[in-house]
Amino acid sequence: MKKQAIEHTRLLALSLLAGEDMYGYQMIVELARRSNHTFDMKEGTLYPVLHGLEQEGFVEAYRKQAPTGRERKYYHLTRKGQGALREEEAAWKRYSGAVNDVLRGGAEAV
Amino acid sequence: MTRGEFMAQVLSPLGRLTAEERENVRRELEEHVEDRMEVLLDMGWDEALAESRCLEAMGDPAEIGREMARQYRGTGWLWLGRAAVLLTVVVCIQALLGIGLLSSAWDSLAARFCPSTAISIGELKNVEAVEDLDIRAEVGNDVLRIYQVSVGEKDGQRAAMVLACMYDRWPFGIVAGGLRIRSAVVSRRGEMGTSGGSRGNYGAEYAVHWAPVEPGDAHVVWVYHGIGETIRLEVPLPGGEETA
Amino acid sequence: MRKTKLSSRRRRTLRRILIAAAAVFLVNRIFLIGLLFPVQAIRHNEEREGAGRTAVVCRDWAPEIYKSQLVYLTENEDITMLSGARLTYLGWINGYGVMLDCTEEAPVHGGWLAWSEREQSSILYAFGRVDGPDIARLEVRLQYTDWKGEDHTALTWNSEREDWMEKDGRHYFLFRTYPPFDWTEYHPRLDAVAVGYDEAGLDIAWVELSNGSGSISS
Repeated sequence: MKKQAIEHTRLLALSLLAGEDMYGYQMIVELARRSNHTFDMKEGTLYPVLHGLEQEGFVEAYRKQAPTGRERKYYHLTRKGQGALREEEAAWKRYSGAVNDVLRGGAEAV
Repeated sequence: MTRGEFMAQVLSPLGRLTAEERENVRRELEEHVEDRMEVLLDMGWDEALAESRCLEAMGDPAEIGREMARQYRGTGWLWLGRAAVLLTVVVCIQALLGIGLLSSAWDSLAARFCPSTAISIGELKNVEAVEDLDIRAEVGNDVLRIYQVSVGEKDGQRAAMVLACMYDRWPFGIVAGGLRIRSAVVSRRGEMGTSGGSRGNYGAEYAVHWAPVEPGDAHVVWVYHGIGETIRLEVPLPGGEETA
Repeated sequence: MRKTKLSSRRRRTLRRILIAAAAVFLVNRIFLIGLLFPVQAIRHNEEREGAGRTAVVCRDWAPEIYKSQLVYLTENEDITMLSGARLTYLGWINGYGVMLDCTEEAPVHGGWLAWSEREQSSILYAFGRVDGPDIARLEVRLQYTDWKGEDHTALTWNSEREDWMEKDGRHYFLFRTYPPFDWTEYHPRLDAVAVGYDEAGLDIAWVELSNGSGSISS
């Protein structure tokens, strides 16, 4: 289950960065806002995921002054990362579609 | 748990990261806590309470550290990078030790742009004429260049003195050695000349050859014996209109 | 707004490799040192001989000369070359060599090369190319003339067609030995000859081998 949570975090992180470059805290806030607080993840676990994506070349990092006036580490989705996002998105859609099919089947059986 | 204890727990499994990488991890997490705390403090929270609330939201520091360590498992790039730095340092030291070798690099450039005339060993008396030339021919992957001819008197005989140099086609490349012994200058009538001075290094080779000339000779021939090929270059003499 | 790029391990390593490659290239090309491979030093020998590009027939490790000494037999259509390379603090550097000009037709082209240390010969190579199609056996003789003017044969070495190495359709031989005499004692005028015999055992070719020698400074 934990492994899956990380997989999900990867997909979520990639898709958040598809819109704009963000720093970690900003991503957490944005995730909470977009999901209407459904993803109540432990915030620190985002960072190993981001560093993993960085090692794989899916994101690049740079330091820049944030709107708060402080310097923050921003992440930027690379071309390679965009490809990975498309793939993971497709895989997720297949998976969730299959779950939905099973649920629907269950509902019909009842 | 204080912020310091939290960070120490995160960093403890990260022994295989470089100091810089560890510092980046710590700084990033600190910044996250800082951002979150600011919101709570603005809402009027007590500082200690805000900190513990934020650290709680971060999750288990040991798990964050473990997961982070997992992302940096591959040390191949790290060692490759260190090897590259070592190689760079070694090569730079070699360049410093070999700084004297730049003289042949310099000669390699000089020969193609402004060949030295500091080799004309031998005495040419009653000099009638000196002329700069630029006759070039490719020999293998080198270039043979004849760049000066003089006419005067040598050992009581009228003679032409020809200066030539040779260099690799590529700047700083190695030229074939032995320009002097591989060359000869012959007169229009086929009389063999004699060789004069020479010098050379990996960058450039220089040689001087003499050939007897008679009034009315308009040229002499520089002959170069390369491997599997012989090059003959006609060297026009200054002011000479060929007569039969 | 000012951005400071942060590099991942991979990117940083790639940058370092790029810098190292540029440094190696420049030092190789301009200083002509810092060679990473021995065969690059052989390329330097080729250039200096004006030999054009050669292909390696075989190589031999000669730790008797220097710990890292490698001796290469290389060739192309026009030349056969035996030359050395060794590792120093400046990288691989080229050493002594003998080049045979094979552009003139001859049944056998040959040369020999001896390294000496404090007047003592430590190792000797004889090498060459056999072009004569009828030569079935080759005898290399190392001979010297003593102070009385008498000729002696110091050693002979026989090889047959199957002992030779083939490269690009041409046949090469390489012979390595420790000379069985003391150079200080004889100070002999050494020369080497190769004699080619046909199937019937008749000597059909005779050639004096060109000489080169190197000394080891230690």
